[in-house]
Amino acid sequence: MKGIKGQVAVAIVCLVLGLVLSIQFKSVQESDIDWGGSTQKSQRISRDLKIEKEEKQQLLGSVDLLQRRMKEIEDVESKEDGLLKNLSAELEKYKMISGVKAVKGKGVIVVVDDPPMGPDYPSDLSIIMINYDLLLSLINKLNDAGAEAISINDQRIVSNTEIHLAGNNVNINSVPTAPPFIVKAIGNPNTLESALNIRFGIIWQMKDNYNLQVSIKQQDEVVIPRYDKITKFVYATTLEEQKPQ
Amino acid sequence: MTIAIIGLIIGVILGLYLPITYPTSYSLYMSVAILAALDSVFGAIRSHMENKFNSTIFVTGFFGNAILAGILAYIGDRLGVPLYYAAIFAFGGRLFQNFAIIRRYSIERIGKK
Repeated sequence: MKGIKGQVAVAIVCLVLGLVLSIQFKSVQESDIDWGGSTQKSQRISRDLKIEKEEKQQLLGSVDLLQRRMKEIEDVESKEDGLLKNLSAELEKYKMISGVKAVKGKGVIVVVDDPPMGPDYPSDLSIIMINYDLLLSLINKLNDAGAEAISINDQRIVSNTEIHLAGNNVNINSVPTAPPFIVKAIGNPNTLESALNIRFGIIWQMKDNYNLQVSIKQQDEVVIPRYDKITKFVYATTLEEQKPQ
Repeated sequence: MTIAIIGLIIGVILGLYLPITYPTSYSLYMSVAILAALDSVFGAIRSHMENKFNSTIFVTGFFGNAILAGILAYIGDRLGVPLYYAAIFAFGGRLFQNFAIIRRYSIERIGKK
């Protein structure tokens, strides 16, 4: 570095470099745009997700525990009181209807999957996920045939269950799922199977129009999990029985 | 050497405490420009060790490279060609090369003592 002029120049340049570096550092730190430190950020997010999932699992466990305890208390109480016994039997029935109880029984298992990969069906396109309304139609047919409980990919179908395409998943009970869709239904196995297999029925439609792989199987014991979300009524309130007009 | 480090430290402190920011969408161009500037600084250290340092070349190279890299990245964005890769590979590659040469000189110098 010759002379005072050169040194001053170097100092100024380094000052500018430091200035820009720190400003850039600051703005990257503040910005939410994912590039630069994106791997760190995504790792942190996935770690958070894991923690949350574990927490959810724990909470579900405690829900189970508390429900069991409630049941025990109810049992003890109902032994003493005939009225309460009736009431708890009634409660059990409504729980089964609303889907907050896991149930098992005879039924069918329907597996719906995309057509085998080939030139006509590129792998990045899921036929069943795009035509997710076929699943809705399938559930409709099952209910029509007297199914008592239905689940898709272990998501219990209740009165406010949604099935819709969201990005790369089909959300059921706001849980993202993907093919193959395993539909379980409890009911009279013969009735259910024949209702689905009827000519020009839903299975025929899936196989013929969309080339989907569908298999249907009767089973002596089908286990259907319970609905594990909490339904909150924010806008709806109960109405007293109206007089017949 | 010391004057450079002092300048750098003052610059960092100034940057951290001055309330200067720019829109985050320019962040990419700025980072490419910073890469070019860093490359210039390493080049300067190398040429200093080779006793070929020229302050005019250094200063013009510093600002010229930084501005050119930033503009190149911007134009690339407009055209839809990721031109900033060119800047990243060119300057990043040279940065490592310069560093390797600096290291070799330093080791030789220490070995002589």
